[in-house]
Amino acid sequence: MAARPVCEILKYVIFHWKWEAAAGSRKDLLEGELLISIEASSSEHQANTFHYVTTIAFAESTCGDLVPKQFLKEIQLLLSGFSGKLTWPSKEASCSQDLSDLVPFQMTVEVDEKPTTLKTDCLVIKQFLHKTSVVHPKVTFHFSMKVNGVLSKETFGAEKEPIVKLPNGIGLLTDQRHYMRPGSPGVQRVCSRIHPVLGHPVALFIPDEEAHVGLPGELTLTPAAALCPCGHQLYPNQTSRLSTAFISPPYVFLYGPSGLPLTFPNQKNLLTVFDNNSYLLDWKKYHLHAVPNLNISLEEDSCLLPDVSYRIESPEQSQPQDSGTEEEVLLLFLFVDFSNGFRAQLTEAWGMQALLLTQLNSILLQNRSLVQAAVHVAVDQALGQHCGLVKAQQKLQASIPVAVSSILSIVAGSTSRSFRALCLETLQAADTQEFRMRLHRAFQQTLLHPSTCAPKNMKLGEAGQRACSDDTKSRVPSKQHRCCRDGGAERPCRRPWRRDVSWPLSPRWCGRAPYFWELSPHKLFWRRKSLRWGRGPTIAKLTRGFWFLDQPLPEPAGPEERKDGDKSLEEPVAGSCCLGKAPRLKRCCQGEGVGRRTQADGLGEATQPPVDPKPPCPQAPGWGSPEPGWEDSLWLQVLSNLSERLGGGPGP
Amino acid sequence: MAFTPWSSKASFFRVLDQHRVSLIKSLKEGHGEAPRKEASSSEVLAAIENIIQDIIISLSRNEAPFLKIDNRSNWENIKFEDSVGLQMIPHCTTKKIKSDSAKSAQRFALILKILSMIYKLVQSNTYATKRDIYYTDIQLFGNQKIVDNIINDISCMLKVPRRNLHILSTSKGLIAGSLSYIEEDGTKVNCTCGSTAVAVPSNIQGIRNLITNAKFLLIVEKDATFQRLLDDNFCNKLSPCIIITGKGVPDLNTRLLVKKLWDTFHLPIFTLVDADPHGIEIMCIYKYGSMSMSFEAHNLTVPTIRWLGLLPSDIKRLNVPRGTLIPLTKQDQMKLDSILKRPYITCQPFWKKEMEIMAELKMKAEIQALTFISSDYLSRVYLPNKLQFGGWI
Repeated sequence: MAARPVCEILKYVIFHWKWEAAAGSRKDLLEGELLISIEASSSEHQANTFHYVTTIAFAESTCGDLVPKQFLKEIQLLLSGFSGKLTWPSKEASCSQDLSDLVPFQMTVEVDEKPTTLKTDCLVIKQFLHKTSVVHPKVTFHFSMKVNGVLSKETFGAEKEPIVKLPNGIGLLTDQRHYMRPGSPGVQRVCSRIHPVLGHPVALFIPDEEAHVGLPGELTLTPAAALCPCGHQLYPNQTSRLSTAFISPPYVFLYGPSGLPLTFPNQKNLLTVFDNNSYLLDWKKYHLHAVPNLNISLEEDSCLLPDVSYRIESPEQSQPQDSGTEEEVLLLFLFVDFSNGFRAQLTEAWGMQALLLTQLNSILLQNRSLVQAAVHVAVDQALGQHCGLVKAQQKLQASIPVAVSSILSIVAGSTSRSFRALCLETLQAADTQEFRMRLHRAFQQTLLHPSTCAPKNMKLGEAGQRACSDDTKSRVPSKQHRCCRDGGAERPCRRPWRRDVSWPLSPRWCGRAPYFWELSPHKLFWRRKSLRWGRGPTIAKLTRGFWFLDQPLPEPAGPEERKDGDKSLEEPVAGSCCLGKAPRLKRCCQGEGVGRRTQADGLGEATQPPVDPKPPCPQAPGWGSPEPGWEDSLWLQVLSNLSERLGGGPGP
Repeated sequence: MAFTPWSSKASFFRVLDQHRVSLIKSLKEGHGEAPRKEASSSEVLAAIENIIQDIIISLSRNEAPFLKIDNRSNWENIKFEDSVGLQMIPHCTTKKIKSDSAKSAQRFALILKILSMIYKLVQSNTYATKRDIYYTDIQLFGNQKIVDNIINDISCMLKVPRRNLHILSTSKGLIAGSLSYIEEDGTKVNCTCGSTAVAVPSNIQGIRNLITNAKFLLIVEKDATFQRLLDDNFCNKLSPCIIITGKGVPDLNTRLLVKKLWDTFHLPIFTLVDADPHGIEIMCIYKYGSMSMSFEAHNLTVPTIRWLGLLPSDIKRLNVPRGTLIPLTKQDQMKLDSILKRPYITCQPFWKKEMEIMAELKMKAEIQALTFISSDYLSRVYLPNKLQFGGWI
């Protein structure tokens, strides 16, 4: 499996980068770009196998003094047992191709794998990138994949998204859509942020045996808790929830030193300490009986996957009684770091980082009471904050019918014709019945859509709070975070961290370019042919897709700036996600503060709509299918077809 | 032996009569108050409509509506005038009751609710008590105090006295003595019936044909003392007189009745309160009004009220047994300090002196302390002497 080496290399690069920043006493967030591209072609060595070439490239500024030889040595040491080929192309070789000067450092990982592993590998890498970008929001990861000539691109990173700054030069993105799938359409959100409550860092005692192994004696764990989605929301025609009965047990996200993920999806669970139900929290206190959830599966279109998650054991408790309400998930971030930073040499520090994962389980076990106390404080505060918000919301909601009926009683009972007429006119109501309706709606709009959502008691994250306020202020009237379809109705965009860029797709298709497993067998065949005939773009051409990195883009045209003659804005734009103020291209709307971009490129076939068993766009949900199993069945169908073609398909 | 009132002596009321003359004289000299013009029903309706109109306009602009009420909890908004008492300054600061704040949304809604009820009462020319309003939706209002406060707020916001809002309150006060009147519904009431007292009417505005020949009106702080005076036949012994009690902090009706009696008869009015900060506070409410009702001062205060007893100086003078005195608590001390800082104390040097005596003694005394001298000392000796010789301040 190629995912792990790729992730390990990326970890090393970020670690090196962070180590340099720490040496320079820079407390700012890391900034830079990394390119990860995967190109698959039929293996010349083995039948029914694809030869995957994964290229990792980054600019000189990212890791200025990275010595290729040393780097390779370190990586090879790290990936001992890895059967694939690891190369560092010479700078000359890089330059001789079309690679831009932006990416002078490249290394490739070559493996021969069965096609079935490709999907998993890609998802693991993307999860890793997403998870890393959540705490390193200023690092942009350009991920591209080309299989059978079909290129798809995504970008992870959220430069302009609001964050909560954490110690040790990392930040935490607060857009809730990183952590949850979009909710039920009937639920209108007032705030789209999470509001993490940062707990106190606890110094973890390192047992002697671990200390002797080489871990220094100053390890800290800092918990942060947040509820997702934010409790500040409107539930039309629903009763608000107050108790913790609807709060799901936590999703736990583990981060190690330098804000790097400690584990990868599908990795063997080394942290068995979390298998104990009550290690982190005393669930009874929250009226829950939780058990570890062992079925954390990788899915396309999924949000950030937790390292550990729990589920409610009792089935009757597992779902809210009110079908229209959404569960709120407790997010728990655990940041483990060396409190003395990186005083050691790079090699030593990297060794400690690697060693930590192997020893962390026993360290956590030894420090159970300390960890539990710290987590309890953060969770209690987050829940308290949530309850406060819900209570406030309930109070506001409860006041509306009283106010409406009182006003209506006065207006309806008034004998002053001018007063009645003025009241009805002001709300543009024809009669008292309509007046009541409009009055109620007006109260709901003004009272339940406040311009700010700034819960109290947040220890950190002024930026987050401000951003939240700004966001909610601008979000309600604007079209940000909504997909505009065919000039028609808006709906919430499912994965806002993806920025859609230049999708030359049919209006029927909203979202990204299809991955090869999503294509019909017919289309797949033609892609395979083009790959065999060498018509697919090279790695060098891949980088052209990132032209937007160094070129100024036109300012986005606001609605008031639109001119009648601007055909580019009149064209039906399939699945264009209007996500904000970021540079806007023809046929696309990009989002401010959005981290993940997708792009289809190049081949003519890509402009054709894929065979889509789903209904047309206005009813279709866009990003992936909500119907369970749809992708799986298609995937199986594609694989079976692919095997046939590879076995005895037509040659060039 | 036949009972002969002490007051039958011609000289008994000499000082009281002189006091009354001086009070009337000062009124004629123009120091009298100018009661606010009563609001008509149509004016009240228009005022409510204006508020509703503003709310609807705010909503149409997508702005959260709010209600603006004069801030009566800030001394900076209160001015003191000797002839009126505590009243609001013309351009005082206001407080907003926001509809979009969780803290005040419920209050905002409840104000609208009560406004709608007032609107109906005024339209139909009917009256309801505060208790009636509370009972229309107990769950919504929560408790009576909330309703009472909101009604005060509405009265302040509309600048309309409560009775013009057609809201009455059940009186807790009692009155006895040389007084008769006819209530709005035609009921004749005579308060001169011996040992029983009459409840202060709920509709003070509606009472008419008040008749009295009383020489003075005595406000008694506590019901127990009031009953004791009745039992001691005080009203007959010092006839003609009127005694009234608000049973502690007076309700609006008791204050209105005292005010009405003053306005109608210009009687000398005295207070008999405990020699403690709480008693002084109650006396000040009768005399100068309270902050919360300062917007209604003209209709409620009687600045001519005098402090008859129990004076802190009386404790020493009468040799009240030390064992009957109670040490001042920390709260008493704080209350005393706060009263001493109030604007009206500067024009009451004798009051100030009495309070300083209390502070120095660090002791307080209830009226009942006088019973340790003799069981009927209060009605037989203390009050007659004070009234005969002008022992008020």
